Amino acid sequence: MEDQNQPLDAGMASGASDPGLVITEAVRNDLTEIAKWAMFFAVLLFIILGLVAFASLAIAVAGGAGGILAGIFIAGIYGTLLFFPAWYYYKFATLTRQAVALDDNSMLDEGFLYLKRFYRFVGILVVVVLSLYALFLLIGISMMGSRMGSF
Amino acid sequence: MEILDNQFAQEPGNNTGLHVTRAMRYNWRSTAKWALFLAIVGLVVAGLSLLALGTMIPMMTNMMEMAGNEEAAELFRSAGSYISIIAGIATIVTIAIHYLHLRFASDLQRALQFNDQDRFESSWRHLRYYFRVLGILTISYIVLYVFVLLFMASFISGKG
Repeated sequence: MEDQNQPLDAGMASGASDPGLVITEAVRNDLTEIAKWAMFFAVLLFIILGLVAFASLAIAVAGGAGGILAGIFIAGIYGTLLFFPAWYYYKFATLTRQAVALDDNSMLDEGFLYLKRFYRFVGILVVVVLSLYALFLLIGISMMGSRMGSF
Repeated sequence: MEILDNQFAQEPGNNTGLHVTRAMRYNWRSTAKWALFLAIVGLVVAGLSLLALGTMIPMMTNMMEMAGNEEAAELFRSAGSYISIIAGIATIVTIAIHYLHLRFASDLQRALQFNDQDRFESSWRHLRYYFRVLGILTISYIVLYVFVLLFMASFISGKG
């Protein structure tokens, strides 16, 4: 009978092997290419981040007191939205490439952790955007309803 | 059977120094869940935009006609088919991209659930294709942007 009396994180250590699935040469090749593209997207996002920082700085310099506030606001919002996905992609790409090159399982573990973080971040962002859409739609409908009711 | 499986796993070319850990499985489960969500949202949005594409241009043409703006209505009539074709191709490409993402997520979920090696390999292959298509499209967009910028710059300098 299987021993059920174990801590919840039993076998979660990076070295603990799972007998079910195997990382074959084909999977290895797939992971290498995925990591290359992820690095490309990370670099692209960092470049866009730099452009946004430059634009917000230009707005802050040109716009006076209001411009500084607008610059900080733009840099804050876009900086947060762009930095985390870029960082997660960058970490996933570097760790996965190194793991495949050096056969290092703990690096691969960490690489997939960053891939999970990337997906979670984008997923939550999409949920927030969809919720805002729904909220604005409801506000629009209620405003239209109240206007029609007043006629 | 297990011995045979282990032997197969140890054959050169089939197994590498890397192996699947419980921590990886835990992370993949979460990754697959979010990827499935994103793929479904993407497919729904692409489907809605395809529906909107079929109705928007005739609607805009009718509105212009009703407002008595014949020039704008004619413009929508003549350019409408080109816009529809370009937007239609873009939507189909978007659907294909989200389908690859969906296959990655669903195959990974099944692989984890049933220890299915074929599905496991298929999931990473689909993620690879997803990244490849997305990357090539991104490079194409960047090249297109640069061309448009160069064209505009030459147009402005020619006028000046």
